[in-house]
Amino acid sequence: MAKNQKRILIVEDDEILSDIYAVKLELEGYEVIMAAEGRKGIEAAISKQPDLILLDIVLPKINGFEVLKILKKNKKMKTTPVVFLSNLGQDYEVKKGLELGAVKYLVKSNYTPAQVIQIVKEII
Amino acid sequence: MFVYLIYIPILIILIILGFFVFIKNRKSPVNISFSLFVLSIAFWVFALIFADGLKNYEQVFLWNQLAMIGPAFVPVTFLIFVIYYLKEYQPSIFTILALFIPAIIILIFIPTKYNIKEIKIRDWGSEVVPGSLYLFFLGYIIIYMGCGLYLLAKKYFRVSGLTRMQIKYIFGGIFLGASLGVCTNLIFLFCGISNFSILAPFSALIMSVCISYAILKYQLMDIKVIIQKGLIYAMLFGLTFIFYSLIIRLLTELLENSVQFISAMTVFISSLFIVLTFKPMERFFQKITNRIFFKQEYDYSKTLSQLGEALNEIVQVNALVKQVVKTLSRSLQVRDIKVLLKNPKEKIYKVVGVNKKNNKIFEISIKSEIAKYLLKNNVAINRDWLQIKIEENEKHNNKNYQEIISKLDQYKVVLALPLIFQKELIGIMTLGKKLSGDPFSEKDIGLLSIFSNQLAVAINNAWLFENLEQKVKDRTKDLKRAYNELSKIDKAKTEFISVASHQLRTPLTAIKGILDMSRSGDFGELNELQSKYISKAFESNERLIRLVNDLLNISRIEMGRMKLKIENFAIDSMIRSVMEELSEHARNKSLSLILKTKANKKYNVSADPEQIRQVLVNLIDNAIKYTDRGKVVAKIIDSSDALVVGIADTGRGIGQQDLKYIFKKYTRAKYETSRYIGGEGLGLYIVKKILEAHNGEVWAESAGINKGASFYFNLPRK
Repeated sequence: MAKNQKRILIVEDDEILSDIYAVKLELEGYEVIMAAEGRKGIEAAISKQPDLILLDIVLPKINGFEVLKILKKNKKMKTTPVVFLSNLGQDYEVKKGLELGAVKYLVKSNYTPAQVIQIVKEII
Repeated sequence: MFVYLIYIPILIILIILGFFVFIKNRKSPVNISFSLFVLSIAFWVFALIFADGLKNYEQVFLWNQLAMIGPAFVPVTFLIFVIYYLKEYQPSIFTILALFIPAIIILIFIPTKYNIKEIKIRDWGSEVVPGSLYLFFLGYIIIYMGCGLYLLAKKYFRVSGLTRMQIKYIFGGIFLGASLGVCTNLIFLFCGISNFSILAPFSALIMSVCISYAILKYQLMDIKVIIQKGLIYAMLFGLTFIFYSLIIRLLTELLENSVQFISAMTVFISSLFIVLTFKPMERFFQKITNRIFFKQEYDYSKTLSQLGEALNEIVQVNALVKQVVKTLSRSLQVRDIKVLLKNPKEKIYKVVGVNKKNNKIFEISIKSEIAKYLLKNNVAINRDWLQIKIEENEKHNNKNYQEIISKLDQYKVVLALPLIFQKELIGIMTLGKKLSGDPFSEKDIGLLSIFSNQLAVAINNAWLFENLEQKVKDRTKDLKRAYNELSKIDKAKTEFISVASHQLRTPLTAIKGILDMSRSGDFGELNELQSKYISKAFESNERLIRLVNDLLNISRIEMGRMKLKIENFAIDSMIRSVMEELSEHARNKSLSLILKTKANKKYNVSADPEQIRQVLVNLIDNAIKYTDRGKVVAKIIDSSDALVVGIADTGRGIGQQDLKYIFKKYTRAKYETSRYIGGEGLGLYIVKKILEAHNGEVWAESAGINKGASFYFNLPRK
């Protein structure tokens, strides 16, 4: 189990959703860190060095796009895969997210937690 | 001595008058005939000087005979002058020549005894016993002069204004003069009364004075300006010569009789001298006076062409008026030229271009007499002419004219010209006095009238152009504003949709996640019933999510924002994947989902995979929804020009009438609505829009109610 212990950071302000994803990820054997707002997300990312970040966009204080921009400027975090997990689904939003350097852009409502984890597995 | 005092000035005046009229316009038959008329009289007066002045019988007889030469031409030249002046008839050269016949006859008979029978020399002059030629002459003069006067009188009652005044003075002068001449030198002679013939030259004087007056005051033959100056010199010369002759005469009285002839010749030669030297003298004096009065000769055609250039090149009203005022001021040497243009809002004419900045700005009301006069008559208002009209007491309009004059005087305007375009007085051009103090000549007014017509057209064009420019500006502004507003609305709409779909999706995602985890046992094992209903809840939630997606799609389509991301993909794999996704729903209804394809064949297509997936989801989900038992079969028909996908079910079918409506937004087949089945009526509409974006088509077939339905769509290969 230990060698499989990958660390996932969930930046999500909706408690129910972050709880669901956390439960599902832990069931799958991942270590989960959670942050409910953008700034805390950045702090957690830098201090905890996760293997993958599930990043929401609509967040208090700093939105997900800004968070990603800051992370991409950070030497240590530059290469960490980030998956946008948002319910914003307009074309231009998806486009923007991918341009900023996200590995994937998932519209939350179109994926079950199991499907999200499937994608996480494919990435790391 | 008395004879000289009277005859010589008259002679000089006549010669100068005839000469000026002639040089003013050498080609005009009016001027030529008038000059000949005056010179004929002059020659008569000239002969009379000798006829009455000499004492030698033979000489007196000869000069009395010769005195008939001038009068022979007086009636005919007068009649021809009247004919040309009135412009009523266009006489042929033969008519003109024919008119000279009586004059020729007289000339032939001059040296005969039919002219003068006998001469008796009296101390007051010579007494003539007339021959029958005088009778012939009497008839000739009465018929010709009578005709001329009749024509003038006839015209007089039909014209108004300046011409009327001119006719009045010509008629008056000729009538009085001719009557006097005919009485003293013809009728009285026949009655044996000769001593009144001394008054004969007065007839010539009356004629010349009256006609000179018409020239000066009413611009007859337009020589007013020259005459005005010329007269000064002429008078000067005339007086000098009268004075000179007087001295000669006094001397001859004291010395010898024969000197009379010499002195008479002196007068003649000196007159000739004045005439011959006048042109160079005039030039000389004009140069001096021009310097004094700042007057410059202007070139009519050059001025017109300069003005024409301004009219053609300048399209802004203000610049146009400025240029015009500048050119006109320079060539006409006029103090103030102003162009007033109509201001429809304020109902006044306002000054546009001003010659001098310190001038009072003046306005003319649309209802003013000036504006009314200009619009009605479409001719220039000449302040002086108007004054004359008032003096002549043309009773009607007198008060209005007075009003016009006082307004013109208030602003020191001498000439006002109408700017008329399409029967509308769009403006007024006003001119002050000339720098030289000269009045405006016929030529000036002619030039200005022609020009003001062109100016009116040019101003109208400039207005049109400015209006057009303004309109373009306004419209552009409006468009920009409308565009900005639309952009704002568009942005707001986009934001709303984005936020709304986000807000809707968040709880749906939570439900979806929890239900999915529940049914897959993440929260503990479920019994069959629980599992069944959790699945139903999951299905319903899925539909809700699709609805949100559809709504988002619809707004994207309707805003024209749907951009296709064309990729090459295998549509058969996609159908399998969609069937897999919807299999649970089918399984719940015990339906089998079948894809019919040829083995080992790849069905590749170029399209937006996400959109086509949406089409497939909608069509297959619909088929499952409306089929209670049996199967849903998908098949792919691949041809060279298009790929056709058909989804056939064994469900409730579609009524013939409903077939045409099913692709419209928010409509569902009647049959369906009668029995509740979940659905939102948007699915097929979106399918249609997506396919249209791909240049494809969608259509439905059904054998009828409960006989199943087939939906097809095609994607053309490029």
